Amino acid sequence: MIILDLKHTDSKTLLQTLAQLINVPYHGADYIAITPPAGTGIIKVIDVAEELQVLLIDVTLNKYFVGKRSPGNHHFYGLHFEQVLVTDAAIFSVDGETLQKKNTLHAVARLTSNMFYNSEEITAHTPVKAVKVFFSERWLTHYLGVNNATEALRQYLMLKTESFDMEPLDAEYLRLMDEIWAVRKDDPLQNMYLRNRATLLIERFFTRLHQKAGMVHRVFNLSEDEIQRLIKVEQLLAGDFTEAPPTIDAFSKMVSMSSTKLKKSFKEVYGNSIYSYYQKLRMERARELLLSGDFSIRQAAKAVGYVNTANFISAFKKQYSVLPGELIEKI
Amino acid sequence: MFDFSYDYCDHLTYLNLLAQRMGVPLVDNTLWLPAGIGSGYIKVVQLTNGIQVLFNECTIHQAFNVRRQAGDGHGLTLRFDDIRNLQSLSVKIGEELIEDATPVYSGAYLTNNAASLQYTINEGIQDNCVNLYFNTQWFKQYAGIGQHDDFWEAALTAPVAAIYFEVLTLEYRELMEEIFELKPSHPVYMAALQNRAMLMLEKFLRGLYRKINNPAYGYGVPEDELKRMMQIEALLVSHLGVAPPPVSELAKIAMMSVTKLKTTFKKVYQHGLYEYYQKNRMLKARHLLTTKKATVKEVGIELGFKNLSNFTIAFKKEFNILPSQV
Repeated sequence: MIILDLKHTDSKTLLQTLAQLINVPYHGADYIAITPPAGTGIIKVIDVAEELQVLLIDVTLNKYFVGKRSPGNHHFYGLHFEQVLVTDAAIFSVDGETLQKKNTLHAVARLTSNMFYNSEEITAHTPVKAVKVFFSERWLTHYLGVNNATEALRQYLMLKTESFDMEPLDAEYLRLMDEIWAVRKDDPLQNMYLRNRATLLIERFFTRLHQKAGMVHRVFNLSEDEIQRLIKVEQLLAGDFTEAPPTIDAFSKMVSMSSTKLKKSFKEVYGNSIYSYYQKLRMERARELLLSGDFSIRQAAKAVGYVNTANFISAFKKQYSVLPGELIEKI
Repeated sequence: MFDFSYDYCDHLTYLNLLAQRMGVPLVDNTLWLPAGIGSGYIKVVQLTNGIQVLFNECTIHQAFNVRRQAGDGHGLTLRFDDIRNLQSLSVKIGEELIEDATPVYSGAYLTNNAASLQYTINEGIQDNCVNLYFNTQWFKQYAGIGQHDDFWEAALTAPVAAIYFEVLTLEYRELMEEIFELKPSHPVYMAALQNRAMLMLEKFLRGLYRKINNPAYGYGVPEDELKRMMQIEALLVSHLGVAPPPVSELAKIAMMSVTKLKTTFKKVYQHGLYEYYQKNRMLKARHLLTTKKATVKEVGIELGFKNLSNFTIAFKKEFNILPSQV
């Protein structure tokens, strides 16, 4: 097991600590290469400005990994844009509240703060690809041109792990992440290039955070507590596709909401009815599995809970207008 | 004729002086042109990273004659201008005189304040512009240029005031448009404005760096032809919802043969005429899909696609994702 106790520090010290833990050499550059037996991949850390740091991670470790960050007085935030193909389990925890993910592609943008104790645990052999941006509260307030961290930000953080699925990675986030990955060492404007894209990610995350905060309170007229209950429903839907999801009635009992209210408010917040949302997630997951190249159509169908492959094929075609077989041919 | 002269200063001071001269107050660092002088606004925002951005969308109803004294050489302005309805423009930088009478000017250039500046421009012009103001010290610190210092030093203190020129392509136009459309009520207004301004600077510096490393780097096109290419480009991008005029017609406007037009355009804008039009259409589509929350159908129709699946295919070809996935 690898346990990394993250403290905000300059990139060189961070890389050195990591290299020691994982047991790979560190040559003083802005990255460490991870080679067997430790695992495979690369971790890059670049200080792009005072109190603004970018971490690029593309690794699969061969050991169970625990990353934790203890609370501190000097307030720092971490904005994580991550794609974790959880084949076994991943556990995220904030201030004692935990969120466990199993057999899923965890692909979200989430914000953490060292106001709370944070940790993440990832089982061995789990591929992780992420862009993480760390910045101080001082940097953030200056950048946003405000005196204090905004209300929306505080609300978000108070949700703790409940907020972690609020912002899925979409095409635009992925495009920006790809651009960051494409940074060239010999680029004379490397720093400016990275900073501009890191701040674009921050801008987008905060813009959407504000939009959602506004939406949730003004338009939906749902209480904080009701939203949390909806998030719980969403998590149950997204968790495990191998078993059929609970019925609407079961959900409605679980979150103490009438089924009419549950259906209506779920649709308002997530844009789809409960079943079509579930179906969409399932197909997305199946698509990811197929694209990974490691799954046959039958295996993918099974992984998302289809006993009958033909039913899976027609559902897939309905969602993507392409047959799973055609998708596989492309890769 | 509107006459205005001032000493070199930052953009905010400049805007204050201009407002005084026009006899109108500044509201939120925004100058609304009084009716007799023009229409539209000029706005300055002090960004949190230390630079100032001035932008305007205006039409002037009088000819302008503006004079500025030389400064210490450390003040830098990066200008992005998209000017229409030009009849006569004369710019005098130090002792160097540039005159222009082509109707469209759309370009980016960096100037320092080592020389004096004087310009006269006809009434009726329509100007959309974004200007970034900073000094050499800020530039060196912020851009984090480090090992390439000599190059940049040479470029930024060059005796000529206009040191590098680039035509505006849709990537620039798109960023300018986003700046004009930003509302101060945007939840992270300052961040959004700064990001767009910095992306414009980054793009420009890339070209400048290439130019410094290879002085022969340029469009390889005589200046008068370059100006005519700007007219053609403006025709292509102004109406993305209708098919562009046929090449034969464009060739007449550019006063050159079809073959010559095609090769010259490609030299300046890196793409063939139709390809450039199509690329811009797709960029516009992405812009509409991401910022306006328009549906795929609405965007397809706005950009003149009669068949939506053609739109989807073209979009996928350009960005490798479907418009519905944006």
